[in-house]
Amino acid sequence: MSRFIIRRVLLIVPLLIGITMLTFGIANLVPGSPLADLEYNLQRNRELTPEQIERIKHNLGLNQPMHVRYLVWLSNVARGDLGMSIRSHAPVTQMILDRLPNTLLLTTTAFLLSLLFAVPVGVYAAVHRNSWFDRATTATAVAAYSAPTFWLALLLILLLAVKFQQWGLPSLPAGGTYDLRHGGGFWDRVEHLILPAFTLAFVQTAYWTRFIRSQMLEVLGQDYVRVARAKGLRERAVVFRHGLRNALLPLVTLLGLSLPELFAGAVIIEQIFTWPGMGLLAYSGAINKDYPVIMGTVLFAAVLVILGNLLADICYSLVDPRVRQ
Amino acid sequence: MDDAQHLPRIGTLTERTQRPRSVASIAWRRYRRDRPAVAGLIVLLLLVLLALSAGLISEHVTGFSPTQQDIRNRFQPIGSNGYLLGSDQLGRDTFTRLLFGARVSLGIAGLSIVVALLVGAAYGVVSGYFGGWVDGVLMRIVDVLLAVPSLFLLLLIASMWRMGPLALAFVIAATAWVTLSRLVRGEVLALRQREYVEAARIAGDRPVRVMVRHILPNVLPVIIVWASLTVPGLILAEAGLSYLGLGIQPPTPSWGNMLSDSQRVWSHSAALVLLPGIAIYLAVFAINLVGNGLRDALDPRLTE
Repeated sequence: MSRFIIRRVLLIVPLLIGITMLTFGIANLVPGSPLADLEYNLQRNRELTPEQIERIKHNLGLNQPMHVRYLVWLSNVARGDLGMSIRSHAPVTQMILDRLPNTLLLTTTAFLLSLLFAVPVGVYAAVHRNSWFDRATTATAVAAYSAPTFWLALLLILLLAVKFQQWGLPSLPAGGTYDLRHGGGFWDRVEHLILPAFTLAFVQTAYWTRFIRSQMLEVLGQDYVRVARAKGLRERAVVFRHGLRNALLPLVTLLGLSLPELFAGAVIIEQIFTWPGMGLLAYSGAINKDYPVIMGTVLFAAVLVILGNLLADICYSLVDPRVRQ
Repeated sequence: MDDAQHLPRIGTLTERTQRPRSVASIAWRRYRRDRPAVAGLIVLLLLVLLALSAGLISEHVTGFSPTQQDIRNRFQPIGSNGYLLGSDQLGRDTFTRLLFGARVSLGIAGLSIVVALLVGAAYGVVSGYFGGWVDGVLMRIVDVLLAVPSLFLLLLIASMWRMGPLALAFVIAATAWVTLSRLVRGEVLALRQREYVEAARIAGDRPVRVMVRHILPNVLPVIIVWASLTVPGLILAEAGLSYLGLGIQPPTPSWGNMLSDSQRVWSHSAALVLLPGIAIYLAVFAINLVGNGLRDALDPRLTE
């Protein structure tokens, strides 16, 4: 077991290096990159003598070849230094760490919310295969995961936050994580979490329901389930003890694999609900051309995804010893 | 779907004497029976037709260009003064803008899926066919690209580069091909062991010929299903980026930037917020139905 974990952890190192190369490469090679901008401005500036341009480049370390600059940057990143924000002059690492809890709160809530719905519905649909309930679930799932989240979010804000308030009905807050007037108490924060978490969960739920249903169908067709039935076990025990427990196994891996989706979804949701998380940070970094911030968030998101996958793999090998070889 | 449909049919004597049907015609017969998939296909074709004829319609039917402003006719309600679906805060005709938006949104999705398909399929076939260290290197690159959430990658690129529709299509394709390459590689790894591939190799076919003639046709169903199930995500990616102000820039209409344009003035006209969203939803929903239908028709193994 420990050998499996060590091997799996070692595999991450080249992956991390690849991700830093990708991020650095994009930031240096894409048209309009900070470097291209600077070169352009320096070339166009008639007041600077070539010597002065050379000195500026020297001071910024730009006269060095790209691989040297990459290694300098990499050694900073390895020490947890992602540079300073061009806009706020705050260290990017700290900015990200400040916002990480909000993103994790939003994504985990959304994830749990969708499982809470998806597991019972998926199991029921699978057990009652081809019933009207099953058909309705399958149809609704397609309709649900086709919905553009940002549009759904807008509609929910318009209805539940704005219109409900106009009509004098109990309404939900449209943005932020807490209300200053209420001092940010627990229920206040819960209230603010409802809309963004629900919107983020909406599309996920449709996917998970389909997934649980198909997993359940597969497991229920296995020989050990037939044996369980044959020996006269009650249907409930068959479904839950032999069926569900095995059907949920791949969920561990899929949780890891769905992390990128969750984070990507969070970018738009956080922007709409002004939820101060990593997604909103990435968005404002992109809008403000704040390269250190956007590069930092990309790296950070990728690292989180890798760690999530690692954790999922290890958990999976714990619950299912067959994959350890 | 019924179980019985997937069982191999033994066929009656008359059927057996008939000419064997091609995979495509068998798939089409299965597809036709799937009513939601047929409905999705019809809606999709209609949308494409409307997008293609946007120029003609704006000239002969609505009489507006997508960027033509008229300050006196702002926020016209649906169906008034010749504004089929009303007008926006600058007095532009919403219907005409939706049509041109369809051209941009569907065009970008269409171009990027074709690019992603070619790159991903070629990459996967090469990786799976050669195996060994080639496969190792190529798949590590895929691992790297899969670890970065694609929207973050798009944000990073879009923050620096104000992309036109064409560039945007290629950049979206650059984030999309990865999953296909892995899928195709897996298929090719399995196919490579088959006797007919072995036979072609022994007969002296060069690797390119083996890959294109013998392996690719057998991976085609997987590629088609992948493409039809991936297009919705690409439409949403473009719409999302444009909605965030990092994709297609105004005044060129795309469904995404129409939505972000209108959300500021929602109190004047809720229809302005509803319509672009409905357009995106309709396209995504229709293509998802087509994708599900194709998956069931082409690859019964994948059916839940």
